[in-house]
Amino acid sequence: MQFPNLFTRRRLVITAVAAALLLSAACRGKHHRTTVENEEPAAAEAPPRLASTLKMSDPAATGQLLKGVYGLEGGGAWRWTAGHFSIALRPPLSAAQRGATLSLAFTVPEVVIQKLGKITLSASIGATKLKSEPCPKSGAYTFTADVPAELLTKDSVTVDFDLDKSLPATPADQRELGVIVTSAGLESK
Amino acid sequence: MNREWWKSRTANLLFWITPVAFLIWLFQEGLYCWFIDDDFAWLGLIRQLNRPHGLLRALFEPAAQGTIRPWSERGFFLLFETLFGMDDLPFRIMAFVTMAANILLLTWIVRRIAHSRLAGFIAALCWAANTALMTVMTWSSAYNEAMCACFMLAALALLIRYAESGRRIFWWLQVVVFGLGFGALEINVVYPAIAMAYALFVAPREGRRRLLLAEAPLFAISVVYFAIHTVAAPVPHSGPYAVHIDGRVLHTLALYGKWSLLPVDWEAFGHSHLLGKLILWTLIVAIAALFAAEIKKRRTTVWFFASWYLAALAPVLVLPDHHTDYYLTIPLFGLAMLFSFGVTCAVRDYGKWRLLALIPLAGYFTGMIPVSRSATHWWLNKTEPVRSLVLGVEAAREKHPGKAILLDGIPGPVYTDSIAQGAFYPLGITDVYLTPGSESAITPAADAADPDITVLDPAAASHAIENDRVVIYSLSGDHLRNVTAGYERSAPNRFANRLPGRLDAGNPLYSWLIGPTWLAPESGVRWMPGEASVRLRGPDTPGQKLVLDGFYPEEQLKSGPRHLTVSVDGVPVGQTQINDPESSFHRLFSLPDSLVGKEAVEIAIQVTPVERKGGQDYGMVFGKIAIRP
Repeated sequence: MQFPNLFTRRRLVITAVAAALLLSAACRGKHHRTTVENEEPAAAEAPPRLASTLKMSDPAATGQLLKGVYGLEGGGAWRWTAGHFSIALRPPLSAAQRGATLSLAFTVPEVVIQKLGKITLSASIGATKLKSEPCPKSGAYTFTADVPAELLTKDSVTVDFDLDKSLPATPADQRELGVIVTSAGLESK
Repeated sequence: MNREWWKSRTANLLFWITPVAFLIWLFQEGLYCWFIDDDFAWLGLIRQLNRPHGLLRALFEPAAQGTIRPWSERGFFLLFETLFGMDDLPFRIMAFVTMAANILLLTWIVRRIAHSRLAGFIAALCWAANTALMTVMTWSSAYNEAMCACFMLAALALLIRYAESGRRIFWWLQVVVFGLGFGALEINVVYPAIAMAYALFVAPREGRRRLLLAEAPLFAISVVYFAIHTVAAPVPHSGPYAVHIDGRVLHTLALYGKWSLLPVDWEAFGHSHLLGKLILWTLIVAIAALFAAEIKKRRTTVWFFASWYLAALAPVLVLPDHHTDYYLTIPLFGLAMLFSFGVTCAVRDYGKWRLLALIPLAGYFTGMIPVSRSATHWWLNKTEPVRSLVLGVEAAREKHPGKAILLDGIPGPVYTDSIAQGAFYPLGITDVYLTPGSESAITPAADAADPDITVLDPAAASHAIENDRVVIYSLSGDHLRNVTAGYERSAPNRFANRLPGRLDAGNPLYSWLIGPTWLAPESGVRWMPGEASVRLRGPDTPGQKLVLDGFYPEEQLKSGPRHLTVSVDGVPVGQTQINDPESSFHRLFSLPDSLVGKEAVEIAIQVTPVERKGGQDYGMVFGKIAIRP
């Protein structure tokens, strides 16, 4: 029997190819080894309900964006609004007793400030005005406002946001544009 | 190609393939073992590549225990994670392929040294069977042992070729392979001693002087490496990796000697104490008899095997506080060679008594094979819940993108092997916490995550549930189960309606306790400007202290210390200074008794000076703030 020479080029190539084939056998990407399917409640068991806090990146948020909030942009992270926009939110569990804090995370783009100058954002629930806040320069803002407990007694509340100025539609973009929102929510005190 | 030719080829193929097949059969479940423990630190490296000089630092920055292993740990994980993501199978296949290569190299080397095919075959089987290999065969973080073994065996094979042929190219190739071995594991530093032992005890007398001279420069390379390594990663003087050169070295040697012959968990897996003793002493007597016989015959080859074992073990003999059987992976080549040589000598020299040599060999396999299989199965079972947990959290994040994830009822061992090691960091998921009360299942460890950060305060959990900010999951077999609805229903009964006694400033679920001036949280921490405040529950009893844990970038601290002034409900409780190089700080402040029992207190923090960037003041970074005994 001939004892094999481990250092022949042929054997090294065969070994390398065999190793590469073995490695490629493990498929890249999502498969049963790289994913787990969790047990989620059945739809009948847990009927869809409104969220108290909405991330614009959550596709499920769409149903609560009642008016003036456009589709997802920026890789699914944010949405443009119109000058007036409305969002439905579920009051947190104890908000009817303690009241809550409304928050809206948004960005005022440079183009808005350049064309419109300082803008002011106001929020209201029904006829009750909550707060107005000026935005003198471009950048990220978090608008917060106290919401009295008596406005939060129902299962759902519609918050109306108003900008005093907005960019009108143009032939290139036929949308009226206000600010870019990333999240909105009610948090109990 | 006649029948004889086919028989010869088949026998030749079986000679090489059988030990590899034996290794794969023995540890087959190791192919399916998921990531665990240290793996997550290496998997997280990929997220640090965007730092300045990210790749260089990821590859070469010393680890906590003072190791620099660019190929076998950092490079291995970075490359395979880049290619395959969080898929364990390619990592495991690579470990199996490398170990198979080690088997082939060992077979080849022993065949050359002992001039016997049988010796090569038995050496490979003996090494493959040893239970100490289980860790390498199941845990990707232990790949460094497999890779370093490959470099050392390949270097020795090249030395043998050099000794046999006299061709200088083999010597140079040996130097290159030896040099690369330093990137796999520090134990590579002992290779020159092994090469020298080969020259002294195995090489033919006429070529010995030439070989000894040729191998001398390798010692210089090891010395230079050791000097550079000591400067870059000083030898630890405390902790489990502290080096002690004293009488405990002999105790450690005896321990590793025992583990080399009988699996460390022999009795833990239900095997007889008496049988274990019998196997152990049979092997000790057999080894002693072999040495006695070889000394009597003035043959020196066995001293090479002993040299390999002792040289490869030497670096860990000085670690009396850190014993682990997988450190035996490389030393065991020496033992496997010794066993195979002993059997071959018996077969060759002892006529009808040669069958006696099978007794210790049978004892060795009787001890090793069942425990190797059981231990591999045990490890697979240990990793399965970690896989379900980590990939389950990833699926939960996809399902509920805007919400933090609370995990309920996670067993202590699963926590230790995953969450405590930052298992979600490689996935870029930071907002995963444990439900209140989970801390009772957690064993605190020095190198693990702070339970105060990972376990949510009851009041914070209650607030997060009320505000629909979390989804709650429990571990259920091979997946997670969404238990949010049931947990929500029982939450009011579980948690008292009062403010938390602690908060994690970087956790958005505590934002409602944070004053208006703080910046947004980032990467689990939060910057404050010059002044900031938080609300917490007052101390429950007199003598409780205010705890502040924070951080300040080291390079900015070099410009001067930061002064911190703290008051509670308007009462000054202390001042402190954060100095270079104390970039991570922990401070305690005594609280006045007048605050005891208050439902809420306001803690005001002031920092001077502040750094101003882009119109924003940056004062200090905070993590945990708590009032506790």
